[in-house]
Amino acid sequence: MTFTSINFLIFFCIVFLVYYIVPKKIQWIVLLIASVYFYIFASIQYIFYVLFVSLVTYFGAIFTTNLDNNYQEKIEQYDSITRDEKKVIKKSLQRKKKLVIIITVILTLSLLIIMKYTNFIIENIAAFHSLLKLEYNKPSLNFILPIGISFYTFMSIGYVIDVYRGEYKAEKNFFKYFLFISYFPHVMQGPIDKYKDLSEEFSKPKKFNYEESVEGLSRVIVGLIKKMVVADKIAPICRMVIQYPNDYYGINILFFIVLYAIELYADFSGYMDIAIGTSKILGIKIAENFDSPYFSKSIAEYWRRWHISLGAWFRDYVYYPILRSKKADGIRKYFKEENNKYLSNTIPTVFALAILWILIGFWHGATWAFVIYGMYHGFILIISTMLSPVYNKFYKKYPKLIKSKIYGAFQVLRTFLLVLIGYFFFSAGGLKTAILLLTNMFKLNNESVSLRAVTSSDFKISVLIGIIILTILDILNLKKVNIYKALRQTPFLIRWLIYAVGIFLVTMLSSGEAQEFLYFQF
Amino acid sequence: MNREEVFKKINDIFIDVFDDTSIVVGEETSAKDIEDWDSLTHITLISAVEEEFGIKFAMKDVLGMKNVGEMVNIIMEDM
Repeated sequence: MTFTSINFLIFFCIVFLVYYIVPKKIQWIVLLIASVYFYIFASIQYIFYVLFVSLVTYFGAIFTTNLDNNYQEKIEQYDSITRDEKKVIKKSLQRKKKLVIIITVILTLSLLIIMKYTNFIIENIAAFHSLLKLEYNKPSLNFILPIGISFYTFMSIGYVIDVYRGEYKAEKNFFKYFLFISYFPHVMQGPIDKYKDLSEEFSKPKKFNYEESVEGLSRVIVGLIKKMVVADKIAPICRMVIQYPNDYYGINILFFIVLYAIELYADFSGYMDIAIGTSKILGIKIAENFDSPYFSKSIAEYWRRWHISLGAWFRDYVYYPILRSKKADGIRKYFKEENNKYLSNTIPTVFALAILWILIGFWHGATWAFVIYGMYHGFILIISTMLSPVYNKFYKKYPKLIKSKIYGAFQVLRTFLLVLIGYFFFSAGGLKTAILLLTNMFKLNNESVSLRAVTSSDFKISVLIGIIILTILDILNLKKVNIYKALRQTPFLIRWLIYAVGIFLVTMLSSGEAQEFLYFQF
Repeated sequence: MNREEVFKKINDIFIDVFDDTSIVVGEETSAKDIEDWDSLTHITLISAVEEEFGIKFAMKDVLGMKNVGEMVNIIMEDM
């Protein structure tokens, strides 16, 4: 039951009605039942994976909080306790907590690793054997990735680490915790929400709010337009190029990659609009995942605006811990003693960025193309970190130029081009195709299939509408205009006229065949 | 060390880390006010503050501090 299906519409209408009819105290139970049903409807065999991950992290967090409570009790037992004694008890507590957390995270991750990476590992072992011309009987294992596993695994690991860090105490009620993991708007494709933000939302009684619901509904319509009118229309063209990469050269490949950028953004952010919109109708605010990413002035900024919740997750649970590790401290200290401030700051950052981006690449999928995608972005970030003194000098020398609109536009265009190069590895599903397309883009060949010739005028209209809508929405967002709020405040008649145009677009221009959301594969 | 002195020291650290002598931090100064203060420079800043005051921030503080005022609160608690 994808968000764009009639089934989902019926499902959501029922959930909506029941949710606001039942006593406020049991609203969360309605959401839990709805979420479990939603997941079972999508893939019944995989509900046990969600359950397993939830149970492991639930108990991991409970153990951690119990250890914390025991420590508090122990401290309170003593009338007078020296600082050193306290330190000894705390150290032993930390050790135990660390053990619990390591076991919990390993168990939780093991499922993701087995399901997502076994095939990749086997393929690479086989490739290695054939390279050395050795015999190798490839085991015939074929794991299918459970829907949403990369997202709910990360949410649950985030939760248990937060409890370990003492940000909040473990949730005692398993079902409330399970609702957080399985909540239907985010379980399949994110956003990777934080437990802290959502637990409060779930526990508050929700009264139907007309204004908020209208805002939510407008957002759903925008999401549907992005997905059905833009992304689904472009999808077959992009797939065609990826399937027959040898047929395209020069400007046609440039067209393709720009189309792919639009498709991916419309698809993923459209999904988010529907997820955030439906959740808003239920009075629950989930995390935003996009903030006009294609208007970023640097790759670092792009990653603060694109798939925000994934970036935040990696920052909080991978990047910062690496930078705060003893090893990083050691490197920092070493160069400081050598009186080299630049290296003392740069080396730990480069080291952390390298690990981070290989992992982000792997998160996206078990292919070398995704790893290269991650390394490519990591490489740009490392270079810009290393060159930051040069940039700073330049900025100080030409402050007027830096602040000018022309330079800003140049930065946006430059960043977009860098992002496009990355998309070759993201889109092609294979390293060979990516490299082939990338090299053929710089070749002129009259025999290239022309994308302009093979696409219908219907398609061109969709693309044009897509670009216009995405651009307007993103510019308004940059100017901090909340379009949904603004829409709510427009006169009734005009507002409904806009809705009618929106619904017309979805019904008339949408692609006949519904495509799966691209991020379902992760 | 009183609050004012802590602020003075922190101001010097900011000037040093961001290489900008015009920085003046106050209670409400946050990452939004200083252009280069992002997740990449945050840890450099945190490490410099830790070294200066001889303390170690907990990860929840590293992630949770919303402005310089909160940073000073944590430093004063730890000292």
